[in-house]
Amino acid sequence: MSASEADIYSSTILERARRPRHQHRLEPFDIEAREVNRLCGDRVTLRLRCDEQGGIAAVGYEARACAICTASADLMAEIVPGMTRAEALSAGQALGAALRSDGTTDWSPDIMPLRLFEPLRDTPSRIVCATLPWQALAQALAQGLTQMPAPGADEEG
Amino acid sequence: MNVIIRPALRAIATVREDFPILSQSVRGKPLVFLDSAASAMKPRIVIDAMVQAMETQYANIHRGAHWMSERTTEAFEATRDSVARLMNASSREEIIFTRNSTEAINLVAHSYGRGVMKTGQAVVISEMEHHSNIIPWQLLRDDYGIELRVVRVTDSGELDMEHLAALLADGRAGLVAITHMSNVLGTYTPAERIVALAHEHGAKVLLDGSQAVVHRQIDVKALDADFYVWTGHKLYGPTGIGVLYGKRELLEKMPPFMGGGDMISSVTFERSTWARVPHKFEAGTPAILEGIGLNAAIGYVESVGYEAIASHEAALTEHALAKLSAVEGVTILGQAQDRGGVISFTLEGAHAHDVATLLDRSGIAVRAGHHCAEPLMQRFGVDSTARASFGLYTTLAEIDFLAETLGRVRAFFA
Ligand SMILES: Cc1ncc(COP(=O)(O)O)c(C=O)c1O
Repeated sequence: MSASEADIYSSTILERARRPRHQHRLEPFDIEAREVNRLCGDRVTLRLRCDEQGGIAAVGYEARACAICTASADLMAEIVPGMTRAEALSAGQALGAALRSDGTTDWSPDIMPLRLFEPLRDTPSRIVCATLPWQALAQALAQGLTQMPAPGADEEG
Repeated sequence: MNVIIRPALRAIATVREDFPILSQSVRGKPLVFLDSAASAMKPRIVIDAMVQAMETQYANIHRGAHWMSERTTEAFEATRDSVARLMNASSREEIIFTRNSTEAINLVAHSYGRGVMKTGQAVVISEMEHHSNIIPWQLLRDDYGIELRVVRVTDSGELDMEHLAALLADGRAGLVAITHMSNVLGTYTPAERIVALAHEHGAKVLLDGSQAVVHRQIDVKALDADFYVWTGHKLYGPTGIGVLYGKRELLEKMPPFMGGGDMISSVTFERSTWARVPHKFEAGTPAILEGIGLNAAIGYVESVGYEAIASHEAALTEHALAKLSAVEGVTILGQAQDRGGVISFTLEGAHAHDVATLLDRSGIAVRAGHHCAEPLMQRFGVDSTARASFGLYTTLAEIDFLAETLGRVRAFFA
């Protein structure tokens, strides 16, 4: 395939899909969530471990999914640890917004490593492949609100 | 009286010229459309029929005593005659218009399932059904105490007829609802034998002909089917119009599906009475323009002729099976004896979605995913497949291009 034909598959995406670095069942874990792509049946199961401050300490996932989705989950598992819940949520939202935008939306520093998904803007049917792991994360954080240690006051609102 | 003039048979080699969209390019490449099983492209004659109706004779039907309404009613009702002729129904009253196959199946699940079947009876479906022939029966089961039984599919992708016989043996099955052609495997099911077996055990039969009607002449009398459903947009017609054929004596026994205008005989607040079939089942303003378009589509298919369509499909399928299975890493789902132009496959080392995206970059449209048949995917132990499906305008050269491009996709992901 020529470079332009295969534009959405950067070497990083292909590499992450072939040899994911963070695909594993995280043990021990605090929250688990699962998200399914209604259109194709792909699924991501996500596990989070939290730190005392309510931030995210570790992420593990298992994906039965395409290259885009697997690479996105793998990158997520790399950049999310160390973030607060609010930061992780907004990173996911920022990714969705950037991919659905007309190209004028800024890629905030938090999600710079995800910019390699930008060519997906041309292929709307595949955007959900990249955002699926982040939807699982949002779901995990929503259900984790009751289970996780209370967040620091600066995170409120 | 309606005089039907059939256009001279059209040579299959020239049909591409009849479909304006086929000359479009996609991402700078010629369109290679191999997704007709999802929805087929429309010939000029269908497009023109709908535009012409809007430009020259359009009004609501079955109501106005004025010229426009009368002409439009005639045009719409002429479609019912064409459908009855196409399927060899005994009468036009046995043809009910719905939005699509899905609505037709829901109509039967509602009006026959809840209206005629008895709690404790069973509905028999198969592992190779489209979700639209699964969910309505699940809803019926959950609301109404009907048992749902599922016929197995063999490893070759055929219906396990012995299992069907076993599921019918206790005589509790009231209805067998099975596809006439799988939208995933391309398998044709032995409809005559299914009907005969079901009738022997006192069960009625609904055939989902959404795919079959595109490729083969359907004769509901020869099949002795009780219900037969299909959807206009796959037969080169517009979206929004589908067909339910039902034997008249069954339709007479069934209560209405939806209530509203057009389906009544008289209305008072105390009591209303229903219109005769088929109108009893057609509440509200129907898809008038789409019905008119469907008539043009039927005329078109008849002008090409099912014989030519079937032999073209057989040639394409044989060619595609040989070409695709020669691509390293390709596995084709099912190898039924009687199969048609719908081929699902996986490519080793690449997810179906990624395969479809790279094919798309070369202008090739295939479908990827579970094809609304998740239980069948589970049966074959796959999460998703890519699917190439053919229409009467598909060429051998397009199939060659698919196989060649798949080879390149394989190399890319290796
Ligand atoms: C076998 C089969 N049954 C039913 C359907 C549903 O058709 P529709 O969506 O037009 O109701 C389809 C098409 O998607 C199909 O292939």
